[in-house]
Amino acid sequence: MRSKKSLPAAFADLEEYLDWALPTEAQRLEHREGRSMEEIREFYDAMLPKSKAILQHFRAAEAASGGPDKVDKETKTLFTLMLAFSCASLSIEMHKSPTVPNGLPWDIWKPEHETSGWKNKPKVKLLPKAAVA
Amino acid sequence: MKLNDLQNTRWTLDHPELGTGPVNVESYNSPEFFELLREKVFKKTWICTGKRVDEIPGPGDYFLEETDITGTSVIVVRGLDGKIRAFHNTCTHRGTQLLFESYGNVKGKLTCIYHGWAFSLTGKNLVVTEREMFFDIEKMEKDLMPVAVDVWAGFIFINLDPNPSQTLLEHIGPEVNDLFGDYPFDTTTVQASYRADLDCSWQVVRDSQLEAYHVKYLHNRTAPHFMESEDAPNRHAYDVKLLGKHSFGSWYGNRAKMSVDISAEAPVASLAAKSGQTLSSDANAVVDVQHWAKGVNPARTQDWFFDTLYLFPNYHFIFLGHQNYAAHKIMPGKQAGKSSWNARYFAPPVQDNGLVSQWAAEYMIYSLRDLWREDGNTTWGAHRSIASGVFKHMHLQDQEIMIRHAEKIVSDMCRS
Repeated sequence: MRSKKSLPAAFADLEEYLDWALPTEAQRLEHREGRSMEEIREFYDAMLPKSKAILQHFRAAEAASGGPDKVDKETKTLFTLMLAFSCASLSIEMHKSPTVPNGLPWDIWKPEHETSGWKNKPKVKLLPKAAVA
Repeated sequence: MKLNDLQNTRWTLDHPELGTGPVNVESYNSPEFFELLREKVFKKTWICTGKRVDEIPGPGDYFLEETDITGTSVIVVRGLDGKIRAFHNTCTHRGTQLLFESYGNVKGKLTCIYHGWAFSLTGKNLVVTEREMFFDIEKMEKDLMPVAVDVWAGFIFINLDPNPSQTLLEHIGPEVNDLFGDYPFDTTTVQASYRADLDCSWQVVRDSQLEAYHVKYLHNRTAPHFMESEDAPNRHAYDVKLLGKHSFGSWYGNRAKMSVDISAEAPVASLAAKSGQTLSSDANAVVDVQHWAKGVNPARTQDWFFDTLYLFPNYHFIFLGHQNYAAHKIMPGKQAGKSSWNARYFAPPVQDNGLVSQWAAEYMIYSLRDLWREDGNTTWGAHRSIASGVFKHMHLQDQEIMIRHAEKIVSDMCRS
């Protein structure tokens, strides 16, 4: 049985918006596209005043735990919520719409970076110019 | 340089072979022309896969390069010796597909799932199962069918011609290599990659990424005021170069609007811009423009938005700064009137840079994604107009010269 997701204590009052914190980019975008502007605006208005504090929390959490991969589950959930916030902010600050007016439907652009093949990719290791083919 | 220094410049007139009249678009949706495009262009020239060497860093790492117009699937694999090779994704027994995942790793040798034939990563056949049952096994063509593969600036290209008429470097040409070969591509990796399959001819989609005229209008929400110059309202191009089969354009950016004003109207965009590198960040603040690669932002101006480098036939770089760029791989589909578009964003890796940088990097990706949705949407209507026969030629302004040039190059190649 999955435990209910939660946020770091300082941001517990954002827990009512956890339905935005979906695990993939495509799911978060689909969620935004299906909401009304009022719902998007409510989420945006709740997150905006806390956004700088949230970024500060990330810095502190990774310093305390030894790296961005080692932060606790609650901070990871908060990170996902911040990604959803980015997505929602585009509707408020740019499009003035849940979707992209005069834009392709949201599901036409498929993220290759969320496919199974992409998960097979080796960890990034840059190769200097000399080590070509 | 100021834009109004260029008021009397007309690049199109420097190239009389291009003409200035309407450009016919009947070939865009023509099945006959599509056949020519396949036989004379896509089976004969260097195709940029859009994938970089760092995506297959270790022995056995591979990706599949599937090309709709030719119907081919090609394995691009790094051998145990570190060398990158390419082969048709075809077992030489009865043509079975060898590999299925878009990316992966092959441990040591490639084994076919059908009858267990095995091949080394150099393509050499290692195992024919039940070997004694075959006739004349020494004379059988058992090795994998090689495909020409090469690398420029860390990007992997293939050529489906068994005997390419040009090396990759000859295809790129000395000018492109001189101007852009030193861009620090090797400090970057792909951050995001999107693919759209469109009911639209390849040429329409190609054209959409060969001009910056549309930015002020189409992207007035996603890139607000970025291209409005009080200095020269009708001009947005600092420079255009035709470089053999390829072409280049450098476009104005209203840095004052892009960097400063947005915190009131767009606080999240502003926060992201300060936390990482986004469209609104001042690219010049990171590395002084004088130290950029030679070919990028040639006017060396602070008021710069982006540069476009089009590598014929299928790849468009959009340089957004000293060390970050988008790149569009635009390919014909399985038939005329269909195409695919893979849009990627490249920047230095952020995984180790902390959650704040990662967040800002994701913001940049989402804003690009939404901006590209605007680009994609203009293509359907144009395609319908052409496909119905109603719309036969387009009228191009001087700053749309890259479209004129690209269409002439491909038409000449097809009709030669």
